[in-house]
Amino acid sequence: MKTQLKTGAFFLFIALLFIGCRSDSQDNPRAYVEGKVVSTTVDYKKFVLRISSDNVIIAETMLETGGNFKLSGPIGNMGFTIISTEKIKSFSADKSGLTLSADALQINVPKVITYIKFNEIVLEK
Amino acid sequence: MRIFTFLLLLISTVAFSQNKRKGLDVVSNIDVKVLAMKPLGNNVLAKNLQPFYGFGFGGNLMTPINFGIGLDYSELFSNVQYGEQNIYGNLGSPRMTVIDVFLTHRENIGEDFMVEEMAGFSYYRYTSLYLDQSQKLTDHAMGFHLGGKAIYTLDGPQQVFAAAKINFYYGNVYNENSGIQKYYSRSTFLSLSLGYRYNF
Repeated sequence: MKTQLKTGAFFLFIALLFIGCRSDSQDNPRAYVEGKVVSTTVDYKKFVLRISSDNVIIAETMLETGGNFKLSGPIGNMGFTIISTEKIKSFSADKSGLTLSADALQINVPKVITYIKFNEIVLEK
Repeated sequence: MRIFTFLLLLISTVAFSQNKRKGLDVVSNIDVKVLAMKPLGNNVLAKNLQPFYGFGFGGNLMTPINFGIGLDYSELFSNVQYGEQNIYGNLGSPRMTVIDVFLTHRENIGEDFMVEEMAGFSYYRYTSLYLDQSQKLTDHAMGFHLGGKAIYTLDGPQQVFAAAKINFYYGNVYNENSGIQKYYSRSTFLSLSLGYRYNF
């Protein structure tokens, strides 16, 4: 019985070691974006918001009532892009460094950011 | 290499040639089973996926003092819940491969009936398919598990069993928001299985 307990403790120790070593890994980054879209005339039933990374669409959503949305998907190590089906006039978020693309359809996110909460994304229409 | 060969010889001697000496048997068995697994708690596997169903294989080596070691291999399949795709991502066909290595203890309750408890490590390989490209998203996770098994002897070497197991899952998805990171990388699974076991 004594030896059994020792083996058990040893197994547990190794398990904790494995778990401890892995918690700081950034191998599998995942983007999470939430917030609100504001528009006066755009039909929410036709509006789609997507996020893409390495030119692959990794998540897409329609808006909830009131324009709220949540989006999440696995990303590569080179940052990601938020893609709108309507032109964006302005936006405000809890992170700085986000840029609007020239055609106003995309928000580019630099690679260190993985979580964004938008206060609002205002559409042109 | 020589040590390895020696070890192999030793293991095979211990495992297979003890039948002649009654009373010092190391008994081995193999099993097949079907499983249902439900992730619990507030995490992506519990909230955004349907329960997992699958199949598995396993084996045990049991010493005469009723302590033993075992290995379980399971393949489990699920689907993304309808309406939760925005949180899960543009992914489908979630699949979990679970490998459990454990210490086990057997208690004989009656002539035909016995109970086994087990505890050990788990390794998880968790994959989903991207909807927009022909690639897999893979996450490797570690953890541990506790379980119990009720076994009924049919005749001679044949047995059937029902088992319950709790698995703790520690994945390595990264997000700078620690709440989000936890939502996507931690989980607890409750699984039930029914199986058939053959003893040697």
